[in-house]
Amino acid sequence: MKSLHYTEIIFYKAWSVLKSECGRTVGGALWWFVDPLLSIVIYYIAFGLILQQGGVGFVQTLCVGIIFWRWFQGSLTRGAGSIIMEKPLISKVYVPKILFPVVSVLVDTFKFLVMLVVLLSFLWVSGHPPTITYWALPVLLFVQLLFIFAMVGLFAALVPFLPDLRNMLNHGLHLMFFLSGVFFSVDQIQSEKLRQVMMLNPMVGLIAAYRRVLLENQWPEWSYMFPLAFVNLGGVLCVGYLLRRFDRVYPKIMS
Amino acid sequence: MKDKAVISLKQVGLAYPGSTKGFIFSREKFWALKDISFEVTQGEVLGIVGRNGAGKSTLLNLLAGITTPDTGSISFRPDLRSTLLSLQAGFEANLTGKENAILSGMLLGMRRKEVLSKMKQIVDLSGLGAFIDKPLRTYSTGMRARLGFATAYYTDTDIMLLDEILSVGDAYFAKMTQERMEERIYSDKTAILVSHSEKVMKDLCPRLIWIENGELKQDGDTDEVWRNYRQSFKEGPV
Repeated sequence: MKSLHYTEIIFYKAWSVLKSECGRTVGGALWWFVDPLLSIVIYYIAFGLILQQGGVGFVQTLCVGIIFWRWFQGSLTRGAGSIIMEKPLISKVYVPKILFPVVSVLVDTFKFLVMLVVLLSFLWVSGHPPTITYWALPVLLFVQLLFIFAMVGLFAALVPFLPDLRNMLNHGLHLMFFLSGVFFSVDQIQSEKLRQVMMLNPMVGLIAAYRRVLLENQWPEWSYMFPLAFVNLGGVLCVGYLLRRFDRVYPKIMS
Repeated sequence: MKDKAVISLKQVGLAYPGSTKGFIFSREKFWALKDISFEVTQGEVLGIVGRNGAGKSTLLNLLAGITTPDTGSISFRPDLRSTLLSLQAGFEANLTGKENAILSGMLLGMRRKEVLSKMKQIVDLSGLGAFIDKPLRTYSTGMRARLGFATAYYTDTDIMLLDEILSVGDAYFAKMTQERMEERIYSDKTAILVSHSEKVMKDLCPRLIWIENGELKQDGDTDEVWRNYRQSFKEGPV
């Protein structure tokens, strides 16, 4: 009964956030498309045209990198503040605090899924039709979702104690963006050792895997993906414990 | 069942972190409640009095299950729901009045269907009419308050907790809401009520609890507790 009630709240709240967001701008939902498109254009100008990075298929490589990266980045940027932003509510009623990061991730995941359809359509018309390896896509999406939730939950849980984390997060994400192979491929890195170190960042491995599946008709490296899935699952469980542990501490530290 | 305790507190203490800034590094604590024990029985209306900062709101938050004590224990009868009737909980400016009523009602513990079934009554009580389908950002402060009150008013709960919400809006609406709320409390509900108004307390609560500096100063018959509470003002600040 209780969990059904909370599920209802999660979906209603997520829907209300999406609706609110659309109401704030003249463009409304159009921005869900325009935002990622503009960032693709910007990086194409910078790396494709000016630095002559790309070569054949650079646009597709870039698009895949950016769409999946933005899912992570957008979720984390919003989600890190998801508990601290609800301060007025948290001091008035009891709501399990885990609801807030869940709503936040749900909102960004919905926006991402809309963009994913656009991306897949674009790949199809530009010469990359669906192949058998598309079956790996749900697995990759699930692994990334676990990673996103673990990170969002961790920051959401800790930011009320140390609001400064949010400022650091922006710089961290900026750095991570440059290291995640969004506008280049990790295979371009000469040093084997450096490449291995970079693969410790799950976004590097995930973006590389998406490119294999969507652009090269190859299966992901399962020997990398399965351990990653388990680590992320562990992360999600730890974060769940953390949020439960502090569930009724937040109203005290926020009042 | 009349005399069975629905909430019981045993030597409850609750501490806030000393200072927000850098507090995770400090062990300093501020004890907002110390060694509080009492019971609330089914159908009882209990008033809580005390000066500003005495710990009344902290106590209400505990009774609503928003926080838990650091020392001692609090227990609720498991089949009952206690809700702090917070006004405008979770309101969002870009949603319509109706959507806000649904969201707020759900946060106060109702199912979506339940709120929808009461929507007509909520609209009537709030007096918003066709405005209910307009975004909240177009509302005046008074309109928001009325919607908040109507939503909270129709929230069904077993133990009502109220923090001075008996009146909102202009004189007419304030009088009406106060009468409606009093009626509701009179009817059958278990209620715990924080107020500074002598009339409200004497009209509604047979029993009062007086909190001072986080400690339970007196628990008993309203007239007597109120007299002592007022008397303490003459003795100067505590």
